[in-house]
Amino acid sequence: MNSVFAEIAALDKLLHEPARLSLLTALSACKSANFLALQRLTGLTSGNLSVHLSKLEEAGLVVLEKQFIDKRPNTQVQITDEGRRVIKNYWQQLENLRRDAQKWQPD
Amino acid sequence: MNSVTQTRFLAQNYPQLQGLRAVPSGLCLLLITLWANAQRGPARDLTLPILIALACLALYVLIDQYYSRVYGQVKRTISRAELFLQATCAILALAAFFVDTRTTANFSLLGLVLAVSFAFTGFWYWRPATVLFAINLALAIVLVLLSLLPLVGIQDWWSLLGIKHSLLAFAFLFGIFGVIGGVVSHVYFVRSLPGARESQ
Repeated sequence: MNSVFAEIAALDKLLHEPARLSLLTALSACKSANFLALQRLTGLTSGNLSVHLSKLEEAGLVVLEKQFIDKRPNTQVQITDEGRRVIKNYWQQLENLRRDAQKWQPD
Repeated sequence: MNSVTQTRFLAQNYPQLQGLRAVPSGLCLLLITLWANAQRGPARDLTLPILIALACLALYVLIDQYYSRVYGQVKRTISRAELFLQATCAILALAAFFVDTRTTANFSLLGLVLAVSFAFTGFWYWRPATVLFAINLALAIVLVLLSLLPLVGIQDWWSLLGIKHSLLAFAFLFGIFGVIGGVVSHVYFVRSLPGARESQ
C-alpha cells in the first residue's frame, strides 16, 4: 500500500469522526466546559453529544463530572493529559499527511 | 461544520466573547460621568450614583445568568504569557500616570500607553475576529489622537464637548466603547456559534 494511504489508515479512528474531533479541539483550547457550552460550540444535539462524550470518556480522553447547580444537572467536561497528547498527535499526523500528499507523484 | 480555528478560538475566548457582560460597566461609567459632569462644586448627595451602580450590578447579574443558562460555561486556560502581558500593561499605565502627574509635558503619556495596550491586547486576543480587533484599534487610535491634541494647540479638548475634566472625558469615552464593543462582541459570538446539527 502506498505510504499516503497507509498514513490515512493509521489515523486514530476515534478522533477521525468530525463531531469528536470538534469536541476534543474545543476542550483542548480551554480548562473545562459544561455540556451546554459544548453543545453550543459544536452544534451537536444533546443526544449525539452524550454519545460522543461517552466514547471519549471510555477511551480516557475526557473526564465527566456530574453535579447539581441550583437543583439543575450540570455536566462538566475536561480533557485529560492523554486527550491533549492524542489530539496534538492527530493534528501532527494530518499535517504530515497533507505534506506527503502534496509530494506524491503517480507511478 | 465550523472550522477548526473557529472552534478553537471560540472555546479559548468563550467568556470574553459574551460581550453583554461589558455593557453594565460601560453604562455605569457613562451615567456616572454624566452625573458628575452636571455637578456644581463638590457633590454632597451620592444617592443617585450609588443607585446607578447598584442597578448596573443587578443588570450584570441578570446578564451573567442569561449567558450561563443559554450558552453554558467554559473555564478559560490563562497562559503565563497572558498574565505577563496584562501585568506589563498595568505597570506601564501606572508608571505613565505617575509621569503625567509630575511633569508638564504637552501630551498625555498615559493616553499613549493605554492606546498601545489596547492595540496590542486587541491583536493578542481578537486577531481572528476582525470586527473585534477593529474596535480595539479604533479605541487605540482615538486615544492617540486625544493624547496628542495639546501638541497642536488644543489644550482642553474635553471642554469642547461640554465636559469639565479630562478624567470625565476619558471615562465617558471608555463607557461608550464598553457599550458598543460589548454589543458587537455579543452579536459576533452568537453568529459564530454553529446551529444544532445531527451526527452519527
